[in-house]
Amino acid sequence: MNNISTHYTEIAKKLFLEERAIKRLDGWFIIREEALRYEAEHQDEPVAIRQAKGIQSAIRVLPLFISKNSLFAGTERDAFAKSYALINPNFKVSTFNGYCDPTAVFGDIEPNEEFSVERIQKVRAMTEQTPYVSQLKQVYESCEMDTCEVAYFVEQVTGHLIPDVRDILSRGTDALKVDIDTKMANASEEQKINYEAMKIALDSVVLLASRYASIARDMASTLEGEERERFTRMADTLDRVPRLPATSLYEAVQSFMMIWQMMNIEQAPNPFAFSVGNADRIFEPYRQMSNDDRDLTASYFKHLLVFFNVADRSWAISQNLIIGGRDEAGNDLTNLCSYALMDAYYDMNCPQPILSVKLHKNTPDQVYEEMARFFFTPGVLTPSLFNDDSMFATLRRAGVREEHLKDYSIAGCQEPLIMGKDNANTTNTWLNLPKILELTLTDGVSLITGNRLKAPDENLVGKDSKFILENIRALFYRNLVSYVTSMAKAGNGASKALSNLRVPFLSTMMGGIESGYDTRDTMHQGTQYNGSGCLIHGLAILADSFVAIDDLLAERPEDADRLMEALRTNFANDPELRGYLLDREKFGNNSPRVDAEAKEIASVVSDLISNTRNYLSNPFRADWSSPTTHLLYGYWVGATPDGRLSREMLGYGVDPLYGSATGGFGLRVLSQRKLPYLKFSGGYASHIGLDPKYFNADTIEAKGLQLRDKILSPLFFYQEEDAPYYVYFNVTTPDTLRKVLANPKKYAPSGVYIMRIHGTFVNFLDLSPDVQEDIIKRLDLGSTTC
Amino acid sequence: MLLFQKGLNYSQDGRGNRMVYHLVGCNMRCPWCANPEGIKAGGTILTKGGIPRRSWHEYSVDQLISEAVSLKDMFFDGGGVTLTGGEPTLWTDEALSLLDGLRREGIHTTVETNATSPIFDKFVASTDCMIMDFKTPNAHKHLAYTGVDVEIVKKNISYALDNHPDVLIRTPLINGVNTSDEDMREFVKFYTSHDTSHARFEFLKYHDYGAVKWAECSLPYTMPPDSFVSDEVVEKFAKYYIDHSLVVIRT
Repeated sequence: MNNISTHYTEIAKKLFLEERAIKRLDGWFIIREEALRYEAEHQDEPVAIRQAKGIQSAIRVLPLFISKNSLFAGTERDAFAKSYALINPNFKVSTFNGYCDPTAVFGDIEPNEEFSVERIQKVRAMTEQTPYVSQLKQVYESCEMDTCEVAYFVEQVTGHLIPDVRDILSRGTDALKVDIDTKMANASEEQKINYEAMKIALDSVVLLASRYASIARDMASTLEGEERERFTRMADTLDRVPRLPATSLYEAVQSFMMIWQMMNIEQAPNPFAFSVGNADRIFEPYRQMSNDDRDLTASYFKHLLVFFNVADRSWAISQNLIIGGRDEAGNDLTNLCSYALMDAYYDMNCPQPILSVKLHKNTPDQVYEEMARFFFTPGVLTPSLFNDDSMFATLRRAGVREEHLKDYSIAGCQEPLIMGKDNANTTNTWLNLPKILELTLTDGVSLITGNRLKAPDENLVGKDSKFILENIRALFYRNLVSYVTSMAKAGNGASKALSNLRVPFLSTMMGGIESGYDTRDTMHQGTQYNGSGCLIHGLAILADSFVAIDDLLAERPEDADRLMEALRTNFANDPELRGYLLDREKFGNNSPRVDAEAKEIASVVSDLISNTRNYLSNPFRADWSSPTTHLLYGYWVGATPDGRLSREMLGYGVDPLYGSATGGFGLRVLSQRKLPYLKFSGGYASHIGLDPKYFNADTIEAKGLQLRDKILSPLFFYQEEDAPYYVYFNVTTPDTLRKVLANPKKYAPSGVYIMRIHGTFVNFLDLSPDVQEDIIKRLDLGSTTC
Repeated sequence: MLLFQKGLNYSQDGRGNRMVYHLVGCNMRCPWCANPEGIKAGGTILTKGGIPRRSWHEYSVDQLISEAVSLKDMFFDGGGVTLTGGEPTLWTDEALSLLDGLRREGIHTTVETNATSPIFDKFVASTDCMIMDFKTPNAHKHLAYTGVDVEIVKKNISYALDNHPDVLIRTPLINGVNTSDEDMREFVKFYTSHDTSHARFEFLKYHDYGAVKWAECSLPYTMPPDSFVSDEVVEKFAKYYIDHSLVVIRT
């Protein structure tokens, strides 16, 4: 590494330490306070313009700062509130109630001299009066009986999109404003207002850059030597970008940071899960312009990674960055920036943003060889992996045009969206299949609280337990249709409530200049693709339960009432029956019968979701994932006929229930291969714990090739379509993690031991005991390792 | 066939990545057994956390062959299928039928056995790799610890050494049972009376991982606490074997 790359790396690491020392996140409050103040004083202006100007006003007053260790200006920490980070040390399964109250975030701010109780309360009260909050409150009230014990859940989706920054990077905001002026000539009045708001938003990012330029110039005037040069370069660059095209990698990274910061500010306090897309492809043209070598490129990217860090605990903000992949013709698209980004990630070991790697059957060996260092170094982040070959087929089936396939990216954890063209509303609705099974078995009475959550089914009057068990599938699916109908209505209500908050800046990167409509518009489609997500929970429990019920009816039908009583009492008085149920075939062991059941459930439920329409009459998307919600939702599900106890966690994503699959990786993969991946248009989650001993090559690089040959080839590349397209690994053992917990000073002297949970990296030591135990349990080597 | 466990593992029970089928039933009664749920013919009821659980599942030969065929792309690094137990050779007809079916499908086969089968030659002829457990050549101790006469074991191991091209002999080293210098010399004396050029030898250190399962089977675990062996003992055995031109491996 040359001197300048080494120096940039050193200051990146110092900057990261500075970021990790920041305890308070007050920026979002200042933004909302000023935006609301402006809006209150300009009620005569159209909503979109008023809100755009409110954000611009906030940018004028937002305190900005540049560290002496900075290579670029900008931060995204000012847009985030801590309470939206689900993965945090205070998280408790038993107390989580979702994000029903958008004003609860004001509890995040600890009052002090600057932020008095009165000041906080004033902004909270103003927020409560907004149409957004009042409409959202009505939505939650309308579905309270269904959501109180999480038969389903709905939320308004902020963040969770992938903007296409390439146009602003390559042409600058001035050029986009010219485009808008051209479009305005033939626009409707409503579109003209939207376009005006977009122009204001584009001016706002230039204002942000100019404020930083001024600070950088002031700093340069007080410094000498390399520091003076660095800050002068920063100021000169901020004078140009993002207003004008970037002409080097340095300018592109600086421009990107301004764009990203502006986009987050527009969605403060919850811009979680905005994702970058293929950063290697975004930045490579600029690297070639400035002909930067791999080390210098990596040093720039190290600063880019620090930019994504939010405060002391590197809050899990679920922003995703991707490298690698193929085009529609099968050509590999890996480039030097792909490897430089890996260098930056490995050296910095930052918990955020999440790294994902796209693979395909012709991925070069070098990708596996260089990626191996992440998997085979304890305590280092591990990328999640995507199978382009299968993903393309799934997206093609969902209606994505051929030329857009290569631009699929990951919003947040694992949901595939087309960069800059797709408002997928990914986490809009959440479906808890085992809870609906419970309410089917009990005809609407909760096994957790005893409360009646659903009116009795008239068709079940006078019917006994045996009748319910014999007809469990028909009754379950009938109830499911009813719940999904209610869920979609509530989810669409939440989306409509959110549409009161316009996002003109984001819209300029989501096709808004072409359409003339805001990305969040629920009356007109502002993006090329649109849908709403449904995260479906409990596949394995449902399949295992159906099979267990079948066995019971076939082998001991006289025990139908006994099963119902055992579920009601959580098996407290019937260990024999529980043992019988636990001994039934379970998903994940390559059992043809239960695997077929899982496939049928996944297929029927996915079709049901896909046939459900959102606010724009576009399909909901089946997403079989459970971002820690398998803990939360399991807490509200009573005992199930597969032998699972009340309140125990559900299975993770499409994985077998932990402890149920005991034949190792091969049998589990055979089971999971049978699922209908073509129908999983919204994504799915799967995790495999790997024992490091399984990889016995002499070098790290060779272990990377072993990972491909032993794990990924049988998992991903055995066929091109309808194959698994996502996985994440943790290469460790439960014993190792328990040692880390028992003696962190020995095993994690830096205080950071990175593990992956769902789509995000976390510092294992910073997690709550609930989540730590979830990670350990799901390593579940009997079902996952080889 | 009754199986009490099945799953893939790497290089622990034969070469490469293997599907390992654990067949129910064993004719020995070794008190150190790590799989006591596999001893009783017909299977065992285990009690786990107060919950009675069945130790076995039933499969047909065709089901297992079909499963193995579907796993072919995972049998890398020379992998295949291993039959172990319990004692797999007790399932005489079914096991031989399974082995033949697997070989017809081109799948590498391994049998891990205690070498007591009266038709051992048929298994030798039907299997690509023979793994044999040999506890002790001492007749008195063998009978006392396993309940089986050692002569049939020695006869069968001799047959395998003389007739099979790929043999692995495993010995669990247990303090107080088979770790004395005299034990060591007896083992080597027996082996070196045969051609061992195609044989490998492995030592398995005693562990008590099975103790929990003995309790779950409602059986007393009778191994004394000083049954563990040190690395030095294992090294001593390995050196002695190597000095007598025997190939020692570690998996």
